[in-house]
Amino acid sequence: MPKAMGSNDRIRWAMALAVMLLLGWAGLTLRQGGMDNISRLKDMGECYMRPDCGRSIMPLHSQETIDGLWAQVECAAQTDSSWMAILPFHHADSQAVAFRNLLRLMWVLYSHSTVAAAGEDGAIALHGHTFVSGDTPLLLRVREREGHLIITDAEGLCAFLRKTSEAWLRHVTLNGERP
Amino acid sequence: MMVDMRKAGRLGKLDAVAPVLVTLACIYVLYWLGVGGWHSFPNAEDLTLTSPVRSDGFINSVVRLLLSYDGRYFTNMLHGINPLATGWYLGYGLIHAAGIALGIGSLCFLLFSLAPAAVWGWRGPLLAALFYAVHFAVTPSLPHDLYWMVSSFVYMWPWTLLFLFAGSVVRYLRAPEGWGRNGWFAASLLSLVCGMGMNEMFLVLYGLLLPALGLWALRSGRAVLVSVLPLLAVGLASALFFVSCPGIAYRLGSQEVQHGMGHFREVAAVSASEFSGFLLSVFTGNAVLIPWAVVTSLLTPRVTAAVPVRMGVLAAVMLGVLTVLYLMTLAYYLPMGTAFFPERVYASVLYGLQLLLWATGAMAIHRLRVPAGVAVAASVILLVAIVGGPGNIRDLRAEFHDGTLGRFRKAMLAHYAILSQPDRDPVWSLAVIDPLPPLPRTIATGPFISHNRIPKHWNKGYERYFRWDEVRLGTDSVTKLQYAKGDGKQ
Repeated sequence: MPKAMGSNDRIRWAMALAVMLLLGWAGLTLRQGGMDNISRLKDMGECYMRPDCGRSIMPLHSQETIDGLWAQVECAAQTDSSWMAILPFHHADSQAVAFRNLLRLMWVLYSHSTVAAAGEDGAIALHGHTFVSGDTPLLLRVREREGHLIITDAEGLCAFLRKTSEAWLRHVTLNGERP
Repeated sequence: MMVDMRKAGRLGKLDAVAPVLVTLACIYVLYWLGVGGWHSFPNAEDLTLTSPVRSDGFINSVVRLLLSYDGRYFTNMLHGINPLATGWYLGYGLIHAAGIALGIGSLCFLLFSLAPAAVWGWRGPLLAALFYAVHFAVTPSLPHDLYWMVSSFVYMWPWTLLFLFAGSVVRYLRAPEGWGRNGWFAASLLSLVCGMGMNEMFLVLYGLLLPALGLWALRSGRAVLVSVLPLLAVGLASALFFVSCPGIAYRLGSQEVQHGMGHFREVAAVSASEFSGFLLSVFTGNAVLIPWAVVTSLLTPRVTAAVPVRMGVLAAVMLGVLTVLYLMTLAYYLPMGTAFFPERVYASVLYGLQLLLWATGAMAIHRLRVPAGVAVAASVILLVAIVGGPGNIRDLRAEFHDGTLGRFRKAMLAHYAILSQPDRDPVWSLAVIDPLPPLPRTIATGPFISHNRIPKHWNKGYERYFRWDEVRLGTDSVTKLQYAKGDGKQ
């Protein structure tokens, strides 16, 4: 800042500094949160998503497929709040698998809460709570249709949980797996 | 440099008709642009970019784009400041009207900043309106420039902010010390920060403009330098914020951008070729631009500089501005490649080319012996060329008369009637809409909803904006669930 400025110069410098501070703070905040996510995404190789052309639907057909797709699910969780997950829901075994994976999915979403945002459709609404703490955290809306669970939006998971046998939840926790 | 501005004295009695003719030209163009605006509707990308504002909130939607797509912070903010973002999709046409009105207003503001309003009189608003009328009559793509909202935010609106910035800076530097001057400084600051957050092309422009301003201030003395330095500092901070946004690295990483001198040489060669082709086509493809340059130069109040402007200086200025415009196109080509001619980029370049023609024409024409009647002759040619010659206005009129515009509007209204229905299946809400008729070339460009969800993200734009589980074309053979299971993928 040049020396020997008048009072009006000081006022103008104050305005400019305020704007620069705001830009600096916003830039550093964005970079701190954003670059971490980007480096993680790059580590995942080919997996790439962006909000307006990402995988708006994530098909999860079987356990094998699910395992293969977790990296993509993570990408989705980080970058795209508009996607859906479709889980198999055909019979008892796959129902168990489906629910376990639903919980895993929630955990993935939770662990990437930096990009979580409430939304009407496939959105992530975490609000900083953990699912396993029973603090009613998250909630994805789940619908049954054509033998699938379709996770769509932030309402209604509780209804789903009420509808689903508590045994599934016990099954998951008793197996010692953290969703 | 002291500048003495007097009203033009070279116009003969017959030339008094010229302003009437150019006024008619403006009204004619604006009328047809209004007709186009009445028939225009948002495309899928408009919906995709405004729906997060409604679902996630203004700040979240901006942050998400800055994290994952680009650094255009003010453009991303504009996605949340428009009728579409409030759900009022029928107000879409107002965005175009606002874009034109703000553009004309900002240019008029700049003109009135360069010389007192009394010097310009009616010429200020008339020439500003004519500038935009001529621009839209010859722009390479009306949809990219005007009728596609999110595209116009990137390619048209930055000029509005630039005009506001330039006008504010001039007023700031000329104002006597006090709160009024501080106010103009604040206006300069605001328009600078906003204008630099709109488009990578304009980073190049500001990147050259601001150092030039700094150099001029350095030569003008300590007081001017002290006045200008805070603006330069904020300009630098804005540029750093823009380029350091994670979204840029993320997007460029995904586009497999080529690096190295080989890529640069190829891009430089192709873009130079396309830039030259654009210059050639814009001057030879219509009979509007040259008559406009003549009449607008003649109607511009006469500028007599204390130091006479030499033709060599004018030529150097022209070459310099053309180089800047070319460098602006590089900002597009370098990351995006040279696969196709980017009409949107050249639509934006055309504004700069017009400014160059106007400024150099106005400075040069008063050094020439212009016979009486030239202004009216140029105005007649301009009016006839706009009404009957090849160009966007004739195309708009043709698409209106052959029913293309009407069919498009009718189809879009039918879409929105379905998409806005409140009665929905609570289990799985499904909207089925008819395929669109052929798009009117003058007002619409893709993307719109796609057949069988290929690509799927545009369908998703409709689903998110109108809050349906699935939006499908009546001719689709694949449902969303079938697509999700892989049945519809190629």
